[in-house]
Amino acid sequence: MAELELIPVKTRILTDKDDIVDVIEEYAKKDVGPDDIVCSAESVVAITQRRYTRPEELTPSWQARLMRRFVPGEGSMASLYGMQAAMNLEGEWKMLFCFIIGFLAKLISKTGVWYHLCRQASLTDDVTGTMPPFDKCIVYGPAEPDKVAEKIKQRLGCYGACVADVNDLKRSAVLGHSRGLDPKEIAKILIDNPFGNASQKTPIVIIKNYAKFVKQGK
Amino acid sequence: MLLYVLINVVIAVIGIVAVLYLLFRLFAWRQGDARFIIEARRRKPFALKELTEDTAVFETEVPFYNGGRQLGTIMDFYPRTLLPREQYDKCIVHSQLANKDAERDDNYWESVIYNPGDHGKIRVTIALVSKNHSIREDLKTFPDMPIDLVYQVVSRSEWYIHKARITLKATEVQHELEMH
Repeated sequence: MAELELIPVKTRILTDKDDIVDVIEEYAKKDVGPDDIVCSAESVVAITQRRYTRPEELTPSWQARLMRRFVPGEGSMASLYGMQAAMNLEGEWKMLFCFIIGFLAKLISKTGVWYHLCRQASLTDDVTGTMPPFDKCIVYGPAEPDKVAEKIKQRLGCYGACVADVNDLKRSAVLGHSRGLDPKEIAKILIDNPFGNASQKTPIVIIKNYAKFVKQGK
Repeated sequence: MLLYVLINVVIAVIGIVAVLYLLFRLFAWRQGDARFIIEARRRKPFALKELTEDTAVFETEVPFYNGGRQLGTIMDFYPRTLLPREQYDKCIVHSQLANKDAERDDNYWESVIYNPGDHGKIRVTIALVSKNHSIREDLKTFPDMPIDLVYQVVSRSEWYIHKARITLKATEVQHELEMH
């Protein structure tokens, strides 16, 4: 009887000089079989795509100065620069407009509308969000996560691949995945954050025996 | 008549915007921000941690806390020693700063979030290396040396760099040398 097993894979610190697919091949290929899923942490994928900035490089707009005051302090969008970074990708007016819509939706008890309409508001990690030396950077969400996952799957010949956003607060989401995977199911499997958000240097997780496990379930 | 109405509308819009702006400023003021207080006066006395023929290593700990109403991030924290050669030219000064709660030996400050009221402590290490391979002799004339503790903060407001100052006093150096 096949059992699911989560194997975190340690790597060196990855930078924008690295290609995430090459890195996964280098560090994980020997452990990956045809029934496995390879998961990559979204912030590391974004870093290898050079999708990060520093507060010192940003000029906050009046929209960012206004809106960050109305976001709870714990979120990345409460920071002037986290908010501005997201605005640089989403657009300042779009963020403001969606913020107003989100506020109105909250009045009728519908939460998360703003984050749903402006994906970068939920995907952008403020400073401290990743390990050194990127702890002083604001990291955006990754670009084309589905394509990245598909490339990983093809290169490693595994059952599937995904790019996931998981943290220690029991929040888990699959941002991109290869064809045929159920993102909600994968997110559930990763809920205990096998990546580790601090300095564990394990941005890759292999879900062993997933295909067999699914077949058994059927 | 139309002009009169238009003027009234413009004045009303300006008035509403002004009131909203004032309300926002009041809200922002009440919300507050992070405010880090480096308790330089409450630092521990410098202690001699290592003494060789040509090197003396001194260490102190400095407490700090977030006295503001919002959480804030210390993005960077580093020491800057101020000892010009015109004043003293017998030693080379090396300095390091570390977060006591997240010890590391590479002089790298890992960004940390502090909630309102959170306390922390830094360790400042000063290594004095004699140019003449006789540290005890050279330190006899060591003067008071100011050390700026430079820190970069980001919170709800714009990032800023502030400094606090401690001093490695000549009397502390002499006292520690006498004890060893």
